[in-house]
Amino acid sequence: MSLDSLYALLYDGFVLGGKIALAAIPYLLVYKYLMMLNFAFGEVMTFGAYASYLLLEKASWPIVPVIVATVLLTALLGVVIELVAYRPVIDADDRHLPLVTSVGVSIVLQNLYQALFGSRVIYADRLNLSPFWLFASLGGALVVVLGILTLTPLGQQIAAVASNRRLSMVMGIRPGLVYSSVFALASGIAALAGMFEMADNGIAPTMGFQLGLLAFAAAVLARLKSLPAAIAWAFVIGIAIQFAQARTVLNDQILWVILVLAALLSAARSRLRARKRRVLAGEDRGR
Amino acid sequence: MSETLIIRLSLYGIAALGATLVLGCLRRFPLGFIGTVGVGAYTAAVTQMVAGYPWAFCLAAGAVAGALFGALPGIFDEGLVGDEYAVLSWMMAIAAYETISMLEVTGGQHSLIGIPPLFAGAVGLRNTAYLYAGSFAVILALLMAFRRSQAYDQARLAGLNPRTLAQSGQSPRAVSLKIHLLAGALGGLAGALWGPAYRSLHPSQFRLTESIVILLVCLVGGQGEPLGVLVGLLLIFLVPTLVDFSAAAPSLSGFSAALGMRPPDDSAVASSLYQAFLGGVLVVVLLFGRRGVIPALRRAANRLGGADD
Repeated sequence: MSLDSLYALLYDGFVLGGKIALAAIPYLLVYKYLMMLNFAFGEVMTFGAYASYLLLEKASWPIVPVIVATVLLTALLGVVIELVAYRPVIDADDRHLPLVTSVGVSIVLQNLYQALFGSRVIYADRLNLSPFWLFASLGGALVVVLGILTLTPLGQQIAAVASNRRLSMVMGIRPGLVYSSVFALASGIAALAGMFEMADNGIAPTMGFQLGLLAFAAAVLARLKSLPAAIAWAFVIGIAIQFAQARTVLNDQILWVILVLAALLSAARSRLRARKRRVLAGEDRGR
Repeated sequence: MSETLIIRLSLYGIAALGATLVLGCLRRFPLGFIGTVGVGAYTAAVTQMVAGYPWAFCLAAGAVAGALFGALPGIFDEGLVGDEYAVLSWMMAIAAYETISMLEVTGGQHSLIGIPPLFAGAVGLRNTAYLYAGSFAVILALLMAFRRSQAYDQARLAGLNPRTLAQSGQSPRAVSLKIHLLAGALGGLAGALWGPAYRSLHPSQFRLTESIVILLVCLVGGQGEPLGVLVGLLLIFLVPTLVDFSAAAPSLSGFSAALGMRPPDDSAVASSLYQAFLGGVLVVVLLFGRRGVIPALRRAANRLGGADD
């Protein structure tokens, strides 16, 4: 492999990693603060892509209002989904309930896109977003998220609800408002990820699913806790995919290798955690 | 009821009986349960087509492969909390799907065609339907007997309170693994019967949506309720046949056209709306009817009889 092609692969890997990182932020935000895995973010990204396509190509709006309107519309969708589908189950004792509900929401949205727009890939000719804008958006999203979480009263409320929901209610915080705010913020960022994916690969009803899977893998590898770790893993995954595809050893199958590795790592960590708990409790009988 | 519908109900029913064991006994959500079905289907089909073994051996091979695949999440089950298990199970299913799509012997991305039917001739389909429905009925009866056994209570304890089970001298991990093996075997068996019924296999038949259908059948009827699988099957498969999804196609196409988009054809719209309907039912069941039909009926009967819930 020549040095030029190596640089080209690294560059493409960084660009893909940037998109995965942008898409991973919503997963991480919602899990870290609401303890919920929302599989429907892939379809929320797709909504952002279709909305921006319609505003840009069909309504002929200029690019900046399109971005603002798309982010706001997608944030609104996120809030509606949270209110209708997730609010009744988000505090359920069965931790798989919110996750499975989000799978249901994902299936509904994906098939509605398919019924409305068909399964063919649509390209937005007027949308030309260079990698500079991708990294600017990633940086902007991080600044906004960290700014809200650390500098605003809403950030304090989010931290309080995440730490102890009942105690936060005693302090006058309304958890419902916090849930909706987190979903609005996460969905707005997902809209940006959807737009960048559309600019590169066009839109199809399932477009958000694959990017969502990669973003989810990055978030899982970061133990669904650390934003910097998720972003680092996103770049590792992006570069790994580019190299795997260039070498044609694994090609598309690199996706499941990454996912299974992420799942097994997570499962192994959980087993270790359980074993530690048993050892600390003096209950390990050498099983 | 047509033979093809009986075959479909029986296949999903056998798989759902496996999934409901994991749901009901272990309180785990096997999101990727379709993986066991896919592994069983391809194992049986390849064993028969490549190695030429008799179909009874191939069915057994499919069930064993499904059991081994189904046991994988059970190995890691111990330390996983709620949604981690669902994610692991789903990722295993993706791994199975991608592996099947990659191998030459399974036909890769193409269909594996030419799987021999179990019964040849003009009455072949009818005999197949009888055999499948009979198999489902036998497994249902066996699981209903299992539900009344001490082994079932132990399995439930492994899901509800593993510490208490351990204190009684049983290993929760071993019990969980046994349930996973049994559930996986049923999934694998459903898969092994899949190929001879449809004469061909394609990886897309074993995707997440099919897992959702299987789990939906269990959830609607009641988690861990073998009889609930029968109720769930009837509600999930027969009710949609009463709804004409293509009737909504013109208004949706009109909306697409108003947005300036080219609308898809009516049959594609109807198919997508059916899938969206299934997703919607899943959400509604989880929000409003988590316990399912059979437990609700049992509670109602208890109230009428003056007994406690």
